[in-house]
Amino acid sequence: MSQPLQALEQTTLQFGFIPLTDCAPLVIAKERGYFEAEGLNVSLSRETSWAAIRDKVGLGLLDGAQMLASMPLASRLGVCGPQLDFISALVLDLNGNAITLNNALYQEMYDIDPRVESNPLIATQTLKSVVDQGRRNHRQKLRFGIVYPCSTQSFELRYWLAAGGIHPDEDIELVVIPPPKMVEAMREGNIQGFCVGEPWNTLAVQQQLGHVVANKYQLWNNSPEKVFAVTEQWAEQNPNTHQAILRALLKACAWLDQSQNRQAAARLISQAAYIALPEETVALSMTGHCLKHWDKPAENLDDFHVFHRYSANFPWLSHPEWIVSQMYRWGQLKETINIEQVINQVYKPALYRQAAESLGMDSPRIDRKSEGNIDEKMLMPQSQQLGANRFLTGEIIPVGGIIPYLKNQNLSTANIPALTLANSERLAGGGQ
Amino acid sequence: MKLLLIGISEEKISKLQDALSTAGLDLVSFNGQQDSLYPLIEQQRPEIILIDTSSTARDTLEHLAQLDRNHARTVISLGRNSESINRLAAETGLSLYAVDSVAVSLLQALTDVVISQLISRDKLAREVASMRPVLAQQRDLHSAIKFIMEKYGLADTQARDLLAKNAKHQKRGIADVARHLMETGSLP
Repeated sequence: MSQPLQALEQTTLQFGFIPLTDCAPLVIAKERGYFEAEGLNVSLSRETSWAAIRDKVGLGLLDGAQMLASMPLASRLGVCGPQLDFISALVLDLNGNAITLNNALYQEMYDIDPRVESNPLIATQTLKSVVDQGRRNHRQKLRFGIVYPCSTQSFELRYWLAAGGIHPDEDIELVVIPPPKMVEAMREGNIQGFCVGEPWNTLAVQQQLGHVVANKYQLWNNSPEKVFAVTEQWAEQNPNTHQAILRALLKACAWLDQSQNRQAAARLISQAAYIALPEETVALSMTGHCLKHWDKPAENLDDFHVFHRYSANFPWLSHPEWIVSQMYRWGQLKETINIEQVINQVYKPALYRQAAESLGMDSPRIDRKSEGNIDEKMLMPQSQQLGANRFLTGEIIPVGGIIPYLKNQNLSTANIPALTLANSERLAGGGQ
Repeated sequence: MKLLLIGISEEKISKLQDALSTAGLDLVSFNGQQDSLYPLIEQQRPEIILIDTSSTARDTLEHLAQLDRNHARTVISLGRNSESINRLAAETGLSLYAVDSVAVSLLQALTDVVISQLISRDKLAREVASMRPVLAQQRDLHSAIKFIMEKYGLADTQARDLLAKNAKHQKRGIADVARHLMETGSLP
């Protein structure tokens, strides 16, 4: 063990996770002894809902947890739940979600345009025509599942629907179903589509229940998915323990990102104590394969799960800016806030840099980056620091440009003049 | 006032039922699928919900609260105090949801009753059960000493001494010997 133990304030810890492929950093840090090497005795508690994770961390029944990237921010704002002061200094993974539609709906779309098979933009436009036809015929609204109202999955599904001109709240009925129940709900015909993290899309396709029409990478390349979060109070009381946790998780993420370790990772996380599904199901996306259609071989998608490369673990402040923009777009957040101020309270690049530096890992020197301006074709294959960041509909958000971006989004309910006023001084200088 | 119970075991409900009904709450129990929770909440519009902390329906409740501000939402503290809610989750495994208009004092009283029905009552029963053998031993010992005193005309300390010596000789506990004496009428 190379790291000197710096007076850990707390050594016995319990973290919560949800049975999803991206619980892997927590599981690997435990199973491969990275927590132990930091002097931490960590137990992992499998939770059944995001609300349980949120409340248990908030009440101190759990010391920390895997959370949706949007959750610490939503909780800070009291959006979709009680006001709780979480912070996050580490992103656990990028990408990893997909949108799956059931066979009947997919077939109806395929009959209109077979290119729905591989093109998410054509798929949403085709779905729009199905939705319009349904309205004319007085058919019941389509019902799609998401995992939590203020989830990355909710924003991704909404983004994809809106890209085709479909209003997610008026044209579709969105219902919340926890990830492990999603496939069952589709099998029973309760929902016609869903947006969820892996391995639940792969499972639905393997069971021949539906087809994947878009994955998160296609919607916004290398966008953040889960974070490791604790309460602000806990972080203040346990700074050394917090750093030790971040170091262990960083080592786990670096190990996970090596392709030769992915099969072993899939074996570990598929166990009964974690995801409790067959290794073959978990291994597909974990080894860089996107199974979109049950009658076709899986496609290669090396970046289906990104755990470390492209500075993945760094809490970029430009990422939560997009999340805030979507909360405004869909009317979840109505209060006018100073976006930069709130984001600075929640996401902690400085704490990340401290942990990375003590491991000799390089960290980004800036806190924000432009989004949507880098296509994968522009990058050298070996690029590790920088990843593609394209949006499905091609928009670009320069640093400091989140409000003009929001202004240009369709179907938005945001009060742009009020937001511009509240954010003018801070963001006029282009952030940092 | 309607109280919806979601994903709560029969055993727990039977312990809660009387106390909550007596207080004037209308209890409705639900153990179905997430999607049928949407119409149920719309129709019943419960003011308060108690749900198993690890129920898979929790995120659906969060969604309902987000869709309509008049639906019950998560209660994570009572006043500035999260102690009761903490005990409710940690000890009884339940989470509380309520509409905004329900007074904090009512929720506090409800939480107290739930904790008392599910935890305090069981705790008292466990304590009583664990005391029972100790008390029985003391009763046997007392009776045995009295028996020896009367039969052999001995003083209290002498009778106690006799029992202790006998127990040591037999390599048995004094309470054990006392029980034997009371059951058979003679020392072992």
